[in-house]
Amino acid sequence: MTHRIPYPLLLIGLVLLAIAFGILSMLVGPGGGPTEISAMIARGDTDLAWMIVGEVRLPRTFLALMVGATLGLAGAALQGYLRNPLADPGVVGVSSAASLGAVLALYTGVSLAFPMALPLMGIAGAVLCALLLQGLAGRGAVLTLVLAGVAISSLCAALMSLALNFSPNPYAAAEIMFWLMGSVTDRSMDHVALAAPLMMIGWAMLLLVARSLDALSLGEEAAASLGVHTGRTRALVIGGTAISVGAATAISGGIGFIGLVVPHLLRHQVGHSPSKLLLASALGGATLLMAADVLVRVLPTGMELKLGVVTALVGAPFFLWLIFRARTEFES
Amino acid sequence: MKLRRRAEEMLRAIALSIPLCAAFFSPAHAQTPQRIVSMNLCTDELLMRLVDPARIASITYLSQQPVNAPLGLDHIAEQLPANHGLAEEIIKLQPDLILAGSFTTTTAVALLRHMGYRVETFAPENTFADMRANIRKLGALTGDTAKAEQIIADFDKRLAQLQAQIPPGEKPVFADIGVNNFITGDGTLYAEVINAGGYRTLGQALGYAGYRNVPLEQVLTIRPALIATATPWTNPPSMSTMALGHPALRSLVAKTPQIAIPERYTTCGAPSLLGAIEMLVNARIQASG
Amino acid sequence: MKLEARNVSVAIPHAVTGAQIVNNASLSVSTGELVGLIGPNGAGKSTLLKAMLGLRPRDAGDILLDGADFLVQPPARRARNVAFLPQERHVEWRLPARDIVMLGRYPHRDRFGGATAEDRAAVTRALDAVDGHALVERPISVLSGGERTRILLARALAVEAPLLLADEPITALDPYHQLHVMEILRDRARAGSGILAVIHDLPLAARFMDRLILMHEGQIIADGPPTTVLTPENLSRAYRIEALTRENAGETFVLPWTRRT
Repeated sequence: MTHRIPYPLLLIGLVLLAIAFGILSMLVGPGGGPTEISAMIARGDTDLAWMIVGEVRLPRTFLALMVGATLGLAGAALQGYLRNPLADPGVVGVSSAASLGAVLALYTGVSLAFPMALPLMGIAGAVLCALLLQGLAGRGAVLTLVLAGVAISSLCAALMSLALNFSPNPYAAAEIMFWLMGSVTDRSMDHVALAAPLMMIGWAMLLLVARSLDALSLGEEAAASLGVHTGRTRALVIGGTAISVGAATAISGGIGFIGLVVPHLLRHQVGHSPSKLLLASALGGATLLMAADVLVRVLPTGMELKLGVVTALVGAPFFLWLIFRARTEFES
Repeated sequence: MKLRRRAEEMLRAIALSIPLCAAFFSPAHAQTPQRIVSMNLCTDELLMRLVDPARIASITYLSQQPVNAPLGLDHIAEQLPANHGLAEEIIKLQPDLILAGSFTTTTAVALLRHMGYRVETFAPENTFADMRANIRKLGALTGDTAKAEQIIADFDKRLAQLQAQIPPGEKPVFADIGVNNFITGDGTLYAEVINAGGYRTLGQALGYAGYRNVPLEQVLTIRPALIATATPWTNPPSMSTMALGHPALRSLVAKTPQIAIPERYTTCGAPSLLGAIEMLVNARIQASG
Repeated sequence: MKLEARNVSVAIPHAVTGAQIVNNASLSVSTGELVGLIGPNGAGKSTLLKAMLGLRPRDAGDILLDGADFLVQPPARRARNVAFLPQERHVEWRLPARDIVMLGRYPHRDRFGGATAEDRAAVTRALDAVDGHALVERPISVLSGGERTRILLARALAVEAPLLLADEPITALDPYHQLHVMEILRDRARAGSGILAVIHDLPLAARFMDRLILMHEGQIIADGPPTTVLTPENLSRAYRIEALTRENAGETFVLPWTRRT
């Protein structure tokens, strides 16, 4: 068995790593690296430097951090709750519903007149999804919840395809497609102000079920017999995921694989405990997404390389490798 | 800690007040924009035609690609700094006027406006009238109203010259099938260009408006006089669209004259349209003579 | 302490007979006794057991703890009084056995606290009872059936609840481990716990249990010491079998011999 770092040290290590990437994220960008920014300040253009670093890079870094943390946390929570290492935040349909809301804003042109309509409609989509989930699967088997999520995802995907199909002109279609690929480029502090409180409420809800997830390792019946409120746990998982992942998707579009891969990476290090995995995955997700966002800015591509594309390109092969390496585990 | 916060707030106030001060002072001085940034391929062209290069702070990197060179303007594009539509690069240029398309990089536009920059958006043109309106709008913004009228007059004059050369008679059909069987019909800029060149589009022949997909069977009912091997949706020019490769169309394609109009000539509502119109008019002349 | 089911019915019809799966059944288990709930497949044993814990909805009857309504009590309090060892042996995560046993302390721990000294002592006592100390560092997923059952039993014992309900604790174990688990349960009952276990193995039920409750088609048809319950008439009616009754070293046991067709 490979050597494990003690839990408190692991958390400190992840925090430091996150801080390191946060700082790196503030230092890179098309406006210039540290030398250029320092030169700007030296020659008196402090206001310019502040605008670049404070108004463009700072919200971007915050969002990468918070969206990454949300996806990691929600992924770990869902894997723990569904007792399935293949679950990810998309499985309950929330990201698709939020994307649909945003796509409708783009399709109807509302977002042209009123830019904040885009994230607001995305959040509305996520909330509707949560209500639908709670109504369809608030009680009953866990399988019902998963099936409801899959059904909602399918419906939202179909409606998004419809919007693309009938988009009034090719520019609108392109805009929809690029938004769906996921990005935190050029978001402002307004976006942070809108999404951050919602994400934090979702985090609080998910962290509340930490202990229950440990008890749920034994199965729903054993957990209930140990005193776990199954109904309340489910509501917190649905609500927490919907609010946090919904807000995250509404701002940044479709970013995948963080919620799937980060818990896998850290599970062994936290001793396979679902409760300890929550905070570790949040920190790991934040770090990973900030790293990916740095990559987006550092790679010399003409068109913007979308964040969701990077996470998919890195995440999918990595996930395949993880499964390949661990397949003996699945066979037992 | 508190001192730094206060300093930051002061810097923010200064940063936000710079464009405000500029706005406050400009009516008195009638200062025309001297550092103009364009974030959109089509506003790039209008800007390059309208103002002195010394007043252009940046155009998009797309305009510097050879395949995207506006008609007769490549020498200007090469020498200007390029941007990728990202807020940070644009801030660095310290622009006093930013031009964007209504579908371009909406997050960057929102952010720049949020920070107090003056961003003017131009809707995509659907007709020549839209184009003239956009040129006039830009002229008013940059303080070059006379030049704007000149550009429009030049365009109209050349357009009239070309149209005079078109042989009389009903307009034959120009088959312009794009990827995914996309065709353009009435009410689009593309259709108006084709019409000005003496042809009807496939979409118009089939009675459609706007952009649509059509099944191949419908295409087969029309006999085109000219086939496009480059369309707004294929670049570089090629016979690569699936529709044109279909066996049912093969004999048709073999017997019909073809033309490759550079995509760039029909993408924007700008004087480059004349390039496309001229090619079409020549094709009409060739076909009849 | 006594847990009682009084006139409980669960109105799901049995797939073959069509009778209600639990039909007006009453039973009890008190501290200090090891009780076996026996009966043929589909008799309603597991359903009744789960109904007593509130894991299955019931359509009639009461569940009482020392005379008071049990299921209206808050879940944590119920958990501290009655522990449950389900039939489910699967644990998704590769948790080490020690952490699994520690999960039994869930009803005693508050939301944010770590494991207390008392928790650790309880875990040690539970591991002592099942002789599981050698297994503690190993992930539960690599343990054999017998070892896994002992660790899961330790988890249930770590709750240190006065009463324990167990659903088929020795099914799918080899004879060595079946005997071992039965010994653990008997010792536990002698030490003061009350245990109600659903069991299929009649010889072991006869030897180890203080009292047997025989269920047939949703109803309780016998309740008492093994010798009074495992009569040829009862065995014939409920199980449709004939059995041999034998004795060895002072213990009477019953061995199923032929089917009655």
